[in-house]
Amino acid sequence: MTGLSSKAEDEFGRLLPADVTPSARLFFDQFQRAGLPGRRVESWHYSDLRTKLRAVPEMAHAPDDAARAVARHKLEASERLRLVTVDGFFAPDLSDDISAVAGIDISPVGEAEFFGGAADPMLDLNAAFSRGGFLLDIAVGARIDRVIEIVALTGAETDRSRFGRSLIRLGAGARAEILETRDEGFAGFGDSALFIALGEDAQLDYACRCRETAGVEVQTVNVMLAARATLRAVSLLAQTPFLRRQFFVSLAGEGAELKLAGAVILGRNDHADMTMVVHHNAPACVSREIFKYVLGDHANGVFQGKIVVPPHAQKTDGKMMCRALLLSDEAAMSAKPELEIFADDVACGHGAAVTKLDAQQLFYLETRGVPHIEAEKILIDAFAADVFDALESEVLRDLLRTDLSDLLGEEEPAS
Amino acid sequence: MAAVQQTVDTVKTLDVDAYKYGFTTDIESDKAPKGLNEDIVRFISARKKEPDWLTQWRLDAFKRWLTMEEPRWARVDYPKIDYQDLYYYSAPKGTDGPRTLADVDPELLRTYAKLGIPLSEQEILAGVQERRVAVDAVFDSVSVVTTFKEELGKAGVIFCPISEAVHSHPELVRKYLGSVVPVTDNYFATLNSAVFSDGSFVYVPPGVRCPMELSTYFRINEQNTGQFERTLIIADAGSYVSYLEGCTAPKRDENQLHAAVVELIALDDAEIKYSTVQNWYPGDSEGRGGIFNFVTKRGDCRGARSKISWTQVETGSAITWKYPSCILRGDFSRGEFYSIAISNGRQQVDSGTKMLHLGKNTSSRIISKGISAGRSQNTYRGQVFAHRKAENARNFTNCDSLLIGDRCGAHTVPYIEAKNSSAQFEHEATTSKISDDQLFYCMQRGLEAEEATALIVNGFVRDVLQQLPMEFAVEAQKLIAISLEGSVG
Repeated sequence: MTGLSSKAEDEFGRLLPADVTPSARLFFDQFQRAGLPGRRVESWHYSDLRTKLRAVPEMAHAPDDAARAVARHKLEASERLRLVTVDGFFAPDLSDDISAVAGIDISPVGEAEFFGGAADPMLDLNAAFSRGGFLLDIAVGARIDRVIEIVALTGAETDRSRFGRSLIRLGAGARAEILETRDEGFAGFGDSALFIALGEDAQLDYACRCRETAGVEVQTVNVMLAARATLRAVSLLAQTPFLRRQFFVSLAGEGAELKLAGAVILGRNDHADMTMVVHHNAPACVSREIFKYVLGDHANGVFQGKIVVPPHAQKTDGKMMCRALLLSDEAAMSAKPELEIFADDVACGHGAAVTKLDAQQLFYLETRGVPHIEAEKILIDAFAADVFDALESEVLRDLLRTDLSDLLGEEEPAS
Repeated sequence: MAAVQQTVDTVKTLDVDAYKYGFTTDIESDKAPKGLNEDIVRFISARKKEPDWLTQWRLDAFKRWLTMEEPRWARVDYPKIDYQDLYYYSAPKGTDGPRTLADVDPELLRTYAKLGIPLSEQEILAGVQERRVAVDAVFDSVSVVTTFKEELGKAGVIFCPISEAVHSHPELVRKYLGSVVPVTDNYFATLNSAVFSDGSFVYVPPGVRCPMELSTYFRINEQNTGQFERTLIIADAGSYVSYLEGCTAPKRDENQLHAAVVELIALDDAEIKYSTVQNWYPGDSEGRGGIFNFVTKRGDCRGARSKISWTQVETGSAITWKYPSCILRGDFSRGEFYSIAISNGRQQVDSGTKMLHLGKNTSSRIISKGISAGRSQNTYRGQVFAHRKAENARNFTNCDSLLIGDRCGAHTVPYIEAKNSSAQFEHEATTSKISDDQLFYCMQRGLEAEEATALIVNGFVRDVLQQLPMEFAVEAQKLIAISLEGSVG
């Protein structure tokens, strides 16, 4: 984009190890050519990394004993099958023995196993620096009853740059429920990538909760769906100082189905950007995107969604919705729902709405004796909670609902 | 589906080869040499005997333009324009004072007759109740004849070429020119500021309701002449004006650049209604030779309770880059944008609007209908923005696209930015072909498939057609309805 490289770009170059692999070098060169994205790059207009990332923290190294001890301390007891990463590195000794469960295999992942992701500078940067991610394989036809939880933790040194890069694969007809808990609470910089590939007829419920991330963080999720595969993915983002979470989805097989949803609850000076590009690359695919934002204080919410339908993807059915509640005069919302359509026999639509809490609804509750603060909570909860219906897994749905109630309970919504 | 096929066929009749306005008038014209530099800017200014401040204004714009880059963000693709290979000034010969129709070059009148432009007595269109239309006809760059000036004068309305207004009403021109679209606004607007040829100037005094619809016809005639119209409309407190703009252009081989600037200013309680039917040459079936239409249109609702309404029917041009916008500065002001954009052949349209809510209790409404056929690309790009202080800003946006054929594209790129919690923005967009459900619903009630299709397509654009003034609705329907409502008759 620009010929001038910012300070941050130079620093990334300095962090690149001497023994860098040729493929990593290639990715890095690609990143440098595009430059650190900022306001002048259309797809990054609302999340200006160039001003946000002035200095690049030191690289995080594979966790040592001290880091593991810190991470272990953060882990709470759980019934879920846990898969733990520390600073983006897979930590088998902290994880449950997942491979013992029939149908699941977990191993370190190599660069060759990833499928091609989207063209995005931050994804290139991730590919150049990442090491030590995992490959989670669910066997053909396997039905996993227990929820698999990916727990992303940080080690002792919090002010670091982290580049997790992992892959989840479901064989044909497999079914699973995955919860990702990102509890990294660090001051540094994060640029992670998760790849999800579903075989034919596979079904995955994937819920991700992000709370109290700190510093500057970019999360990229690349999704590839084979014929008739279904992915239901829901994100709950809260109190994120500067987060960009982006989904690049390819509906590659006929009849694939995608449900993408999310609730974004922000206050303080928080900034969260949900960006998604959904490519309907095969006929008769269905996609539904629904996102709700609740913005208080000086929070800044961003939604960018794009549905792309090439000429051969006839019978495409795509619908995208984004709604935002502004709770304070200083909060701001920017939404850009796009359609890019080259096929004629399609039904595509999008909607976007920005409002404040409805005075009449508040009044209704108050006349029935509900205190003002309580009434606000009820309305906000009702506004946001229905995005979780995108999930089929009741366990995950309840979990996110509880999380949302906790979030709304602990903070007095600004009025 | 037979009915859809018929719609496809009828749209094809609109195809570029069928462009019936492709002829050139053979009259002598007075040109500046090719190319663009300070001397040309001075030459244009001198030819128009402009005051010094305006010459300086143009030169400042030109200097600024040299430092700017051509924008590339729109979804349009065209060969690089060589700005030094264009003529920047061309005036029909003998323009020193045709006062009556008889004085006008008969060749020119015949051209207008071919275009069906109603001059003087022809202004009352068949079937329309007796209304008067004042026509400020623009032939290439200089306004040749202005009718109904006297009657407008009685009401106090000033309607004249801007080159004349510079001399007759310098205080108004100087006060308002460039106050909505600043000289530095964008590449094409800056170019226009440097070399603008002519255009219309309208001033409606306080409390006056303009007694007739004002209209202007643009026609690009001279080969290789960039056309740089500049329109300035001011509606003073409590006034109302409706302005119609229609365009046709002759057929030729080389691409032509058109970079107009339109500025509207509505003061307290004033209302401006600006309607456009654009039917410039879209190029041949391979997309060669069409007009490049890079227009900056912006209205400023400067006063409280003012209102600006844009209505456009876009069927022509090879490349359209056009975003008629409203700055809602006054409290309780209102902006409206109604658009039908039809693309066919190899046309590329990137059009939409901007609604910038700055004042309190402002409202806006956007209705955009895109129809793509052939191998065309049709993009809606719009921004709705509420400033932190824009309390109770309200917007409703609806953009629908209809695709006819599988080689065209329809795209929607809305930007919704709210920085005020009391803002209420709603946006909806759909892209589809004619819905089977709707067809079924109509047929269930006894309509034939063809009638049902006609009804649905008709309904698809009706919201916008209804906004056009009567005179224009006729022309607009001639232009698009032949194809889209063709299955009715």
